[in-house]
Amino acid sequence: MPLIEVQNLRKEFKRQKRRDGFWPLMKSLVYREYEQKVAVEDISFTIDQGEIVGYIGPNGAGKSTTIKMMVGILVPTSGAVHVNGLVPFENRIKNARRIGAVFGQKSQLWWDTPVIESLRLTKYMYDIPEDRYQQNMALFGDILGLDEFKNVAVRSLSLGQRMRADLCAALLHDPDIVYLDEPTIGLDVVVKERIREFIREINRERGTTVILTTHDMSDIEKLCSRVMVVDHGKLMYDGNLTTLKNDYGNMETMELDTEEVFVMDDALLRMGITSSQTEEARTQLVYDKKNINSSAVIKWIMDRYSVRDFKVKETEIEEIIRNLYAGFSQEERPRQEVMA
Amino acid sequence: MRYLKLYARFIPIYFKSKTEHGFGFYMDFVGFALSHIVSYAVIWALMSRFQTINGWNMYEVMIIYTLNMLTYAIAAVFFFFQMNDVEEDVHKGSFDSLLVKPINPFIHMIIRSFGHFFLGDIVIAILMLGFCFSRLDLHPNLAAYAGFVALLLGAVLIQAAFIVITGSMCFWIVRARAVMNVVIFGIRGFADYPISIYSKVLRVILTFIIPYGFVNFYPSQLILDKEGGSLFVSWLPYATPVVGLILFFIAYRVWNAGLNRYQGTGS
Repeated sequence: MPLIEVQNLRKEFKRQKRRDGFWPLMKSLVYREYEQKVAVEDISFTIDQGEIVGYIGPNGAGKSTTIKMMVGILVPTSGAVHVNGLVPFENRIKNARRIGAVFGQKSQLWWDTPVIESLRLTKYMYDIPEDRYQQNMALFGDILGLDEFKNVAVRSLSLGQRMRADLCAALLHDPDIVYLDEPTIGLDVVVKERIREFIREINRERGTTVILTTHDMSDIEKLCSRVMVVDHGKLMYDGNLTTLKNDYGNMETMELDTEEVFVMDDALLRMGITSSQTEEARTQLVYDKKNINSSAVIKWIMDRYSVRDFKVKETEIEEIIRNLYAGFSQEERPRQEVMA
Repeated sequence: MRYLKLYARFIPIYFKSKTEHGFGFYMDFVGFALSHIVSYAVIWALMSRFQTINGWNMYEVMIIYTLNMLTYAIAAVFFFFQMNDVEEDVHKGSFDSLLVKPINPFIHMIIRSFGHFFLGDIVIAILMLGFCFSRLDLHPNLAAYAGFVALLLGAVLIQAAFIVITGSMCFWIVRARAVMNVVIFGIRGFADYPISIYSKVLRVILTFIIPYGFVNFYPSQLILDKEGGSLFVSWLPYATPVVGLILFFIAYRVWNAGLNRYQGTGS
């Protein structure tokens, strides 16, 4: 049985229509108009124990809403969520014992208290046995480097320190699942790397299932075995990163510097070059690597021009996601890979 | 029991973090309490001119005032800043963190903070009660004290219920503090004096609708042996603990309805 089961999940919000101007405002005091906004529309998936899933999508796509329903903070409009066999919003407290959550920029620690006291309160709140607490503190403290700031009040911490403390607090009670809503937002590269290492370590050592939302594609690349992409409340892609790259990342860009002025030729277009751009001596050619390979292109060009330098760039993950989002507006049906 | 143990863990940490602010922490007690001295001066000025209002003399009126203040302060220690925090959390979107913890959010809300501001009020109120009792030459026996405590607890529950109900409005209305101020500080102000001095309509309101009368007026009738001055039915003075329990239960239901709304069940 999968750890998390989400079936036909839907969430609508009723939002009051806002109006500008004096009379419309007066009118709205007596008679309120509401509009329905669908935040999550018919999403289904399952997650097994030990997976690290990246849940991505543009702002307002419905990522946080889905996670809040999985945590039990929000009640679905229709559809079902089962976590560990429990319905989260009906068994919120029971569910809470077995999960950890970090919500981006909002700390869940006690603002005015030193980190170590906050962590100790967490221990009491979750009834963590003393030896387990010590063990976890030793392990987490080491990876996250808590020692340097554990006696500092939470409000005086830097963003990176606070995030590290929050992560530690969210995992102290050995949860089965941890939900991380943008855990690396606004952090420098060093801290990001530290946090990723921590997530990997916890996943490896404890088998903790990790579900994270992010805008940082290197989080996805370095952590996630599986990616789910949502847009406009719909699940557009669910599968592993390699497949995503193969399906959407097949465009390559060749960049060459030529002695002569490069002139675009029909022969190249027939070969499958989809676009070209020439700026002084530098030319960029874009093509689908499924249709032609770079050696055919470079051979054709070297026969006609003297090439000083060239390089071939694969599509970066950001680009893939951008293509994916752009593709959604045209393509109605989501691409879905069947998970084994 | 588990919650009491947790509370015992939370409070020392809360105090430790507050006392770090040093001098300001102690001023919190003094500043809040000073405003009551003004109120007592007003009662003194008023009563030294009229001697009695509606059969209540100066010390009796002071007891009425003090009971309102005392029970409010006790309730406020556990609910005032706590409900303020809730409003702020809801406004800023950080209320979610209460819903991912393995504790009833109502309990969590209470134990995560402490209204030490109001401790000064409690001290003043107890001193004033002692002073008024001795001036009135009241010497309650042990049974009377026990009854008094029961009445006080009921009154505290009433005060707490109103703080919770008005505070819970933040789940429906964005800036609910305005509502809170009108209800708490406005209507509660009526109960600073014996409600028998007000018009019939107001008396009905303060007894049956927004029953602040049970906070001090009806209990005082018992404590001060005020026979003959009874309003409506004669057993009302005994009803405070029951009214308190009922009202607090309603307040908890309102809080839960607010939570449901927050979670989007729309009930």
